[in-house]
Amino acid sequence: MDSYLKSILWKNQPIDSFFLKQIKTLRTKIVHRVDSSEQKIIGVTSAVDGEGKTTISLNIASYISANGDRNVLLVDCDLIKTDMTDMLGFNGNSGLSDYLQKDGEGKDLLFQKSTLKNLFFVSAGDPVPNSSELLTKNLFGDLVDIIRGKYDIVILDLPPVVSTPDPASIKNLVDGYILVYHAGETPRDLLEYAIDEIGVDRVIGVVFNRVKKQAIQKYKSKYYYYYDKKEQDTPIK
Amino acid sequence: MIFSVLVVVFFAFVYCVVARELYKSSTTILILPQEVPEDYIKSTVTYSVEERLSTIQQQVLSRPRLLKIIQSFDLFPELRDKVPQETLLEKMIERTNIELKGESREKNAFTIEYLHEDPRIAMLVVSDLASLFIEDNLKLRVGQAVGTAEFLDTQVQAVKKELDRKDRKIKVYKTKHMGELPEQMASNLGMLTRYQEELNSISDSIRSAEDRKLLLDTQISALKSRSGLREEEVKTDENIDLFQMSRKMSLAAEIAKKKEELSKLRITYTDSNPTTKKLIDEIGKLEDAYNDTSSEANLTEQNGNTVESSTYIAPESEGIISHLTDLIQRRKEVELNIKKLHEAKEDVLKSIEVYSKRVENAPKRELELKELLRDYNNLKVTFEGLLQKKINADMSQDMEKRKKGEQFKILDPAFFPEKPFKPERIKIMLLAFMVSITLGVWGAIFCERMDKSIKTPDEFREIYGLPVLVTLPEIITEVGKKKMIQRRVMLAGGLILYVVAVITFVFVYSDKIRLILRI
Repeated sequence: MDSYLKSILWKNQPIDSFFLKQIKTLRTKIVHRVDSSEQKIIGVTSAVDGEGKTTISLNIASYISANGDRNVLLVDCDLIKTDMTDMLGFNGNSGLSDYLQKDGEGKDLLFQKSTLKNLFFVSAGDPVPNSSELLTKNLFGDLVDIIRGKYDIVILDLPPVVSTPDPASIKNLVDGYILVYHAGETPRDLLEYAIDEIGVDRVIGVVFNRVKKQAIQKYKSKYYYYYDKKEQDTPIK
Repeated sequence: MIFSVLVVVFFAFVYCVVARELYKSSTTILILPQEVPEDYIKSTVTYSVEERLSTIQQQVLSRPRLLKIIQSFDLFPELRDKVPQETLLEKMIERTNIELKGESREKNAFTIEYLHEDPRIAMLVVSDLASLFIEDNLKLRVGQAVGTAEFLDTQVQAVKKELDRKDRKIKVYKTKHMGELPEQMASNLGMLTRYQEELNSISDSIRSAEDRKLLLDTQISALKSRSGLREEEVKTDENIDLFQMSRKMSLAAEIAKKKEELSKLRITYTDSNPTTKKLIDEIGKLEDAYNDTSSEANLTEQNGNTVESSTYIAPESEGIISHLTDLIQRRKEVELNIKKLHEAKEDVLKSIEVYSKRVENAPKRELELKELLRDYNNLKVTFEGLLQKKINADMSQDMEKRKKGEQFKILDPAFFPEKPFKPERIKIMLLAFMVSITLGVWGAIFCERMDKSIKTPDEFREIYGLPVLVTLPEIITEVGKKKMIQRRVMLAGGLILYVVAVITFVFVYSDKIRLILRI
């Protein structure tokens, strides 16, 4: 496994780490929502690049799949940058972009089983410049319908809203968005633009990501007073 | 903030050590009031202390004076050949300070200060400037007093000349309109009244004389009628010929008698009757004789006899003639009197006209004279005021020349400064510290303001009303770790460099630093 992938994955975090605890919480919330509302197609996006949506998508998809008996599909819908595909080592393989460009050819090869239990993956395929065009094809809509019937939870790793209209263009196909926000970094105007684009009523919730250590301590002391006060993230070994 | 403190304080320290020291010397000069009390002599130097000091300052700090000082004390030797003179002068003026002291209304002293690298030079320059101030003050005061006195003198002369001219004008006017002047009004009215009375008197006299003349005329007429003479034959002048008159009277009586007879005859007879005819002839002859004006003419008596001698006056005529003559003479006198009275009346009327004119013109003259006098009086007041001022200015001038006016006196002579005035090291260091703190704080505030991101989940919820599902910490990856180490190394390196720079500086300037700190 890629060392970077290792370093960001929940599996490799200390058992008592705050990160892991929060991933658990996130999983609980998502599963509860899916169970109660049948809204299983969840798009994970952010305002700008580098806020951690790919990391979150991967972690939540893999955690849900590993801690339960649900089949989880993770789809790399970022047909321009294809970070998830590269990270998981599927670059070079045929993927979503190929499927959409070839009018549905190779559907059987689309769904890949990952090394993680119950986690299936659809890679982005080769990077393409006309991702919006492809994602708005009926073919993609049909694919989503198939996925909906086949899997328990579908996590779509979407590109950032400000960079491309892709996340907003598939509004009708997703059941909701998780917006990932880099705390203390992304300017408000870009964030507000992203929310406007995808629609505030379509946002399931926000993941307040990459919070600094001091802020985490404050957060923990405010909301997690019953935890050990000396607890802190240990460096990656 | 720490960074700003370290950097700013260090630079301030370097400046304090490296900057050239300047020493300040100063002197205090007292402004002594005039020795003679102001109630006795009021000074004509009316500039306020501030104004005078400003004027003197401009004179003392003028280009030629300053250049002289620069050359005398060899100031700015390293710059004299390199920069223009204006720059040297500006530098000198920057280093000089003149300040008034004392309560706001009673400034009674001022200080002169000068900064220089050499304390001895600073002291000498201040002394020199003080001397210049004292000398210039005296010159200014004397100059102003003299100027004021001279000016007032010319003014007084000019006004006096004008005053004399107006005086002459008034005199000419009074002479020209003598008699019509307001002060003569009463006299004129008196004269007018008197002449009016005289006129009345003369008129009465004329009336009386006319009455008398009338009476005489009546009497003369009556006598003429009795005499039988024709009107024109009754001479009333001096050449009255009594004889002739007598003869004529007789002839006239004879003629009258004959005519009466004729008229009676004509009742009965015509003119062709011989008796009538004869009578008519006799009447004719008598009339011829009557008409003959010669005094030698013979008079034919009633019976035809000739009366001889021109000296003969008929007895019956003598009384009439004498009376008539007397009457005529008296009438002449009365006429003469009337004539004289008329003449006198004319004179009086003329006089009345003259005085009436005077009275009529008096108001006009009064107005004209008032105007002339008003101008004159105003000018006179001005003249008297100027004269008084001139007297005072002369005394003030004398006072200034004798140095009894306001003086400058050195109270506190220029001293040798033992410690430098600049740079003010403690102040600079404190200021640097405060500036650095302020910069740090403002920088932080600025960064805070410019940061438009959202810091906490609470803030997010508050603004957008969206649920924050979770808060995730930064995951330190290998790459991230490396970057952190790099940053720390750079920071440490920067600190080390800083310390090295400080130590090097202290080492290089150790002597000066020891001197500054008096170690």
